[in-house]
Amino acid sequence: MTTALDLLLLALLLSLIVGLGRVWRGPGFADRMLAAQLLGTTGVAMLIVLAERFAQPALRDVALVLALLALLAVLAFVARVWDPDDAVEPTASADGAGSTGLVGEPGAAASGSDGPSSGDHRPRQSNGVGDDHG
Amino acid sequence: MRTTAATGQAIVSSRFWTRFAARCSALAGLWWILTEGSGGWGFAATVIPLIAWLGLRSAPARAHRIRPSRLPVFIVFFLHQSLRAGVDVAARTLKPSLPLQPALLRVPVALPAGAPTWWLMLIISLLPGTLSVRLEGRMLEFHCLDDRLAVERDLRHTEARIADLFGCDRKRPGVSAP
Amino acid sequence: MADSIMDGVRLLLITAGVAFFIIGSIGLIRFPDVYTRIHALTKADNLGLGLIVIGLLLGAGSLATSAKLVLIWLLTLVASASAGYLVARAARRRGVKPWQAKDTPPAKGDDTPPPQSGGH
Repeated sequence: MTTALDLLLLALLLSLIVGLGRVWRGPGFADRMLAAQLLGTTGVAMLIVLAERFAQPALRDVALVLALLALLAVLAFVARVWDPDDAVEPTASADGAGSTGLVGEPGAAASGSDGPSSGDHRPRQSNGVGDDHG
Repeated sequence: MRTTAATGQAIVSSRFWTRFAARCSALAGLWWILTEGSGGWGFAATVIPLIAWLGLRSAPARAHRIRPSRLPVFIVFFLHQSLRAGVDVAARTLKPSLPLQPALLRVPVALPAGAPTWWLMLIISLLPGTLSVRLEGRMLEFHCLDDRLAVERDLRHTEARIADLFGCDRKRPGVSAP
Repeated sequence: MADSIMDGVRLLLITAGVAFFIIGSIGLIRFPDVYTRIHALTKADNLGLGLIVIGLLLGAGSLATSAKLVLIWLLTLVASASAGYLVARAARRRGVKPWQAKDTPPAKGDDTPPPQSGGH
């Protein structure tokens, strides 16, 4: 049983490496983002098999955390790096809007809530990375 | 007058305590699973009622709730479809000719907004050949691997299953306001 | 005797699960665009993980451990379906066009919305 599980773990590692080949080649940015999903699911599979193979129940907790972190990585990527709403949104306009009174309708201010968080001053160009690396 | 108000109050509060008890048992179950039954119940017993109470106080009542009695049927449906989806995509991957005929399709969602629609969007991504791409109003745009498949029939079927799970109505597709 | 049969069944299930992971990775390499690759990744990997989880919980020592394995699978399902949807939506908003088979007629215009599929 243990030898078989060792072999299966190796096979999972192999599939992870094959999948990472796609991430390496891209070509689009979204293809690279699939890495988080791939690492998440394959990582979870490897961890629960490892927990069985080495009788380490704590590894199952690691699997739970990994599943959550993989989702967080995708969320962060989509929200901050790649979503075009970010690219269109003028930076740092939300801060001053309230003081003028005429422009700053509460609804208008709220509609811009998807914009980049304050203190995040990436150069605009970084939003457009990736599509033409090929 | 006073008596009706009092009974109304009593009904509300008895419902509150029922939901409180249900939530406490759900959290206790989660604790048991996460600790793999290894104890720590002293800590759990202090924290669980607190979380359950805070949750009920702060979260608004949900418009759509899952009916536990329908869960087994739904789980069987879901497992069967997951199996079909995995086998379908694996067969396509392994065929040398790579039989794909992808398309983006739009269909009106018949389920009410909120939890039922979210369930639909997540679940069709795990069904054979479909992947949610975006939701605009009540129109769902999805990608399908092969438009020769009966994807829309599958989608309507899934909607019916979710409506049954939540006990909610469906609008008939195509009748929705422009 | 019964134990060795059980071990065999478990190994079979886990091996099948690992096979789906490998197929998912092959699909990731072979499929032509990001949307189809998401199909390969979410569906194959989740079935693979499900089979591995069933295989492992057949020999799990306690009920709580089995429940935890199922919880891990459910969480991964939700995470994976959400992640696939988010990446697909981001790609669509960025205007990434889906790959089309050669024998299907190309879309009429660049920015026309996709055709509404016929209702019943």
